Amino acid sequence: MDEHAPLESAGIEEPLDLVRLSLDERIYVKLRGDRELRGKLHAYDGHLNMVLGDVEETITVVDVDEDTLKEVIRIVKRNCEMLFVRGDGVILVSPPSRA
Amino acid sequence: MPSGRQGGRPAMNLEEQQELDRQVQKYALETGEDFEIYDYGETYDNLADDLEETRDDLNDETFGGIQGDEGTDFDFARNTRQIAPALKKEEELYIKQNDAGPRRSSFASLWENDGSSQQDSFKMGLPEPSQAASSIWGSFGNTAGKGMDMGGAGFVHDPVFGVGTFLRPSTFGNGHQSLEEVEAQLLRTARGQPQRVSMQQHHQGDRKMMSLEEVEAALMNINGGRPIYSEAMLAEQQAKIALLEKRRAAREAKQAETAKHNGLMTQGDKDFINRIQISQLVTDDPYADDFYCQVYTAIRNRHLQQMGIPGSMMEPESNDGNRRRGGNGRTEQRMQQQVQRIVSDAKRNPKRTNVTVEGALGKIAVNSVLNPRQLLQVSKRGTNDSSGGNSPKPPSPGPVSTKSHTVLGWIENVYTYVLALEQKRRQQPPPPRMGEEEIAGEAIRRWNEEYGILAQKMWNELRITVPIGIVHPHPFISILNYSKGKKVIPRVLRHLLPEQTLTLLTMLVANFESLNVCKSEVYADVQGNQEIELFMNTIVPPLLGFVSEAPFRIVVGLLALFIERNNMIWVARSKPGLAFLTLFLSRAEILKQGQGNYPIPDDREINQWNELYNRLFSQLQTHFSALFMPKATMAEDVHVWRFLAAMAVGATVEQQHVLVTEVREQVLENVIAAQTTRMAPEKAAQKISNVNLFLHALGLDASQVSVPAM
Repeated sequence: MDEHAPLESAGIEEPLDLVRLSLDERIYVKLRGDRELRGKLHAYDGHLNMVLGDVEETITVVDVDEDTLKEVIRIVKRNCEMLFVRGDGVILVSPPSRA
Repeated sequence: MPSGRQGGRPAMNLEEQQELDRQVQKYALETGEDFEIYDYGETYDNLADDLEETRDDLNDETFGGIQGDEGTDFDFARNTRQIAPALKKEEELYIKQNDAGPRRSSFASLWENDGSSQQDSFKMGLPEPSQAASSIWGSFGNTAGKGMDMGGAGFVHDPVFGVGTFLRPSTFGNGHQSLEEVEAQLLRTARGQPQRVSMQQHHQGDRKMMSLEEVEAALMNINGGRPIYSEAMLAEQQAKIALLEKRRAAREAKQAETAKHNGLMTQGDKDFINRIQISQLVTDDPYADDFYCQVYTAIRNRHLQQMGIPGSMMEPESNDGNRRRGGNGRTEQRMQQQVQRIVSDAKRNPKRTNVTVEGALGKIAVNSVLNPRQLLQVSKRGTNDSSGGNSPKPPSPGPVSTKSHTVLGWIENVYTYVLALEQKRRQQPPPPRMGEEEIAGEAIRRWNEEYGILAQKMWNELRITVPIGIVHPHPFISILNYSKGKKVIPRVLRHLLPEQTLTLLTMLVANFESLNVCKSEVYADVQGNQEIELFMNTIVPPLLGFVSEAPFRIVVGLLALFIERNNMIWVARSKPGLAFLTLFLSRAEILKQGQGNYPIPDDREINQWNELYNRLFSQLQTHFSALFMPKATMAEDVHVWRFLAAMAVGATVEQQHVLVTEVREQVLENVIAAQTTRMAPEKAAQKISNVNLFLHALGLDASQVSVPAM
């Protein structure tokens, strides 16, 4: 019979190899400007430009009340079917937390 | 001209040369493209002289040496000529305005002074040469902005250096309007009826810029001195026109500002930059480098063809050499030749990532799209480390995450090999030609060897041959539990040997229970149902194809394994499980009846099968009606009927009786539902045909079912 490949090796050598594992999986992306994305990773490149599908974008907005100078935190959400993320805004890429 | 463009030049006499140039320029006008841009040999310095340049045997075709079939689609000159007086007028106006400037008053003067054959022949190429042409080109500075503004037609190439490029040629004829015409049109559309009188005025050639007051006055005249607009409408019109005027002024100011840079670059410079830009995009392996474009084009063309539109010109070059038509085809062909030349150039001078010039302080990096500037240097393990395999494994954070990471890693490796295999397939050497068997045979042998190695690596990476029981779930099943693992299977199967496919199927059948899609749709969430759908669409069809050619022995073996290793009640309630059961049952039935290319199985095999069938039947007995979805889910149940039909065909009379008794309810329900008027006719028909799947297998029909009075 054939020799199957060892059960452990996954060939992870550099950081982007980890991102590759998440292809076609849902991921969590943290972006500059208090934005977060949750969506399915369709493609990425060395700049971490990404194409995400079925995305939920969460934007945290801090409004400052003119009179009281109190900060009011607002969360805006929107959904996109397909999204191109430019890599220069990416802070963090991770699998979604298992909540 | 085998000696190439540069070398061949002196050999031609002057007449030929002029004729050729004329043809070239004519073609440029027709296609609305300036291929001089791409023609590096022409204007480039003489360094290229000693390069060998072939591939110009198609020049005649490319540059229109054979004439006669062009239509008038691209005859811009005629269109332009029609408005030539207007352009001329505007040019004069513009010259007057800019008289003081250091600029040459008109490009026309340039044309007169420049005696190069290129420019001359350009004029010769025009149907009615000097005046119209010089007026067109001369008025560039003044008209281009407007042209783009109004009709989207305009010149984008600097006219000093040759032929302008028309954008959106089809709109040119009516799109290029002087301001007066625009004004008139605005008014006309506002009024809702054509203003012939005023239009004729404009066309009679006495063109000057009408001020707003004049326009107004003209309109008043036409309408018997009575203002036709309310004040508000007039104001609106004025605002519109003012805005237009303002835009034009801004554009002109901008042009004047940048005009001092005109002529800064020679055509050679531009060619050089063009070459750099194009060579960045060129690739000799479009499938590897331009994968998404290739696939998208293929999908879109298929889509267009379905809608009855012939494939677009973006089609990959392989199969449509003769389907190209008209100017676009030729332009594209020319582009392809250019691209090919660049590719072969690039091949001749292999790319270096950086150049160190002697005596220089630093390195010059040669970056391209495919080779971007590297900012991080991550040393690959194994290249520095000669001990390779002994390098320490990354610490594993925990059993669960290691697990999923490992499996994901396997899947990625499978993809890597699948892509490599697909790439190899595209590079398959052609069958040997006469007299070249020796060389071609060698190439084919080498290709086979490489292909085999890759296929074997992919096979190992699937881990199908890991013995059952070492890890649970089985590694191969773990791969299938990811959607991307499912998606890759059809692409994997194409590269497997038949016995490998059989091993794969055996492994799948033996571990069916541990598949995540092996559960009833009732218990699956939305995502789970998507996974089931995916499994049915990706894995079932190719394996169905495999089983439907398998001999009886194999089918018996597979079903035996299926029943042996899985809980049939559970498996049968899942859609994929039912699909596989149906598959085996129906295939066995076909073979038993002697259809297909195999001999009718002997008694021993038949007995084996009957035994197996009875076991399956007794396991599923009292559960047949539970195979159906609860009514509330409204789920499709055609696959259940299909399975029941497959069961019924092989059943004994008693077993058939049991079957009918168990699913009697469902049969009645469907027939009654179809007969009530509330259901859409096609849906009712669907229900009846579902029931008939089963009833026909028993030799009955839905019409025989008597519906009890409600």
